[in-house]
Amino acid sequence: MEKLAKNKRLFVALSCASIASLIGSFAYPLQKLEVYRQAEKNALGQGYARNFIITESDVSLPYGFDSRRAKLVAKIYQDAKQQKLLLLLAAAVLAIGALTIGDETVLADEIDLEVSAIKAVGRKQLLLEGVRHRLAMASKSQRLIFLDEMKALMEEFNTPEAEILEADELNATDKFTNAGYLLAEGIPLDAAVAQIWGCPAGTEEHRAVKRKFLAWQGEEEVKDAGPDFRNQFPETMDISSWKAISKALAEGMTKAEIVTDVLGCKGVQAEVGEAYFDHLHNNYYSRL
Amino acid sequence: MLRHLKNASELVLYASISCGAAYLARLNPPFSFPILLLRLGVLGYCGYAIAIAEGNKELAIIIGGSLLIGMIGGYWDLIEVHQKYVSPEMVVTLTVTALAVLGTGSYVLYQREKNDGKASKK
Repeated sequence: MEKLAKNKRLFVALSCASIASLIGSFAYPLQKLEVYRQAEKNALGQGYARNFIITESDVSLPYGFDSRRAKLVAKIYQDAKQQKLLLLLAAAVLAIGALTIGDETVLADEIDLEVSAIKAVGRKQLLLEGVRHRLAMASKSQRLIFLDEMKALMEEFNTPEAEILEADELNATDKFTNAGYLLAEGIPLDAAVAQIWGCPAGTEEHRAVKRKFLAWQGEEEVKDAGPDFRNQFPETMDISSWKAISKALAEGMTKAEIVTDVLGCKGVQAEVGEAYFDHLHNNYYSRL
Repeated sequence: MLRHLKNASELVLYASISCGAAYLARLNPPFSFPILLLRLGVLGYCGYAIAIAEGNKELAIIIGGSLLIGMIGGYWDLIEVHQKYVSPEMVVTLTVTALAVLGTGSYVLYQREKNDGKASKK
């Protein structure tokens, strides 16, 4: 960055040099001198010491100084007159030099500071803008990634909507499932089968379809079809019925005879009787 | 920062002049009284400029300070001799007194400046 205060270093150097020269010029004695101490007595007869500093510049001895009684306490015979004066002169010249370029340099430096402060503010704003932009970009890209993933997912599963549609269609066309729905809604098995397949109850076709349907529903579903005979044979009857059936079996009766004679199911109800017989046979025969 | 350095340079210039006057007074004792008079006059004027007159008070403060620095610096080796061989108590007393005067004067001037500011607002 181009700075206006070009003489800044020179100015600082000159100022510091002038200060150092001035402080340096204070050091070391300026002139040769001697310090004398003279014992004196005041009007009351009390003793005290009187000190005299006699320098080389003194044109006369101080009043009361007695060279015979005065004792030399200290003397300085090495002075630094020239060095001190030179340093003082250097300090003055350097200070004048510093002041000559001072005004301009100080003004330029203040402008530089102002400019750099403004630049710093600008840079800060730029950084903030950049961060905001990057955040926006990140958010956008995340959204895009999400959309891409969704797309891939949909392609992988052959689009969920289509799948759902297919399932619905299948369900709609699958008579077994529809019959299952009807059963779940509480419609009796025979009525459901008759409604879905369009065959009246009691016919051979009805019976075959029902068997298929029960096989399709599996063991659990078959059990669920219990209400069919439960209307006629409640659970409390199971044990006594089975005892009667097992007795009849022991006597050598066939299944059809048992259904008609023991369970008392004839004609249309023979099927109910058979189902009940099967149910009891399945549940109790294994326990014998 | 540079502005303070510039003020310091100014102070050094005036202090070097004051110190030079002190050296002159010591090397040529006949000059000591006129220089003392001059010094007192300038110091009095500085006091007047700082305390009463409107105008460049910074310059007055700088000149007053430089007078003090030049006086102390110009007599420093002699002060050392006094402190070592003649009367350390005197040097200590004078130093403490001078510092007390400086502190009090600064405080008074500061308060005055503050009150002036308040008065001018009214």
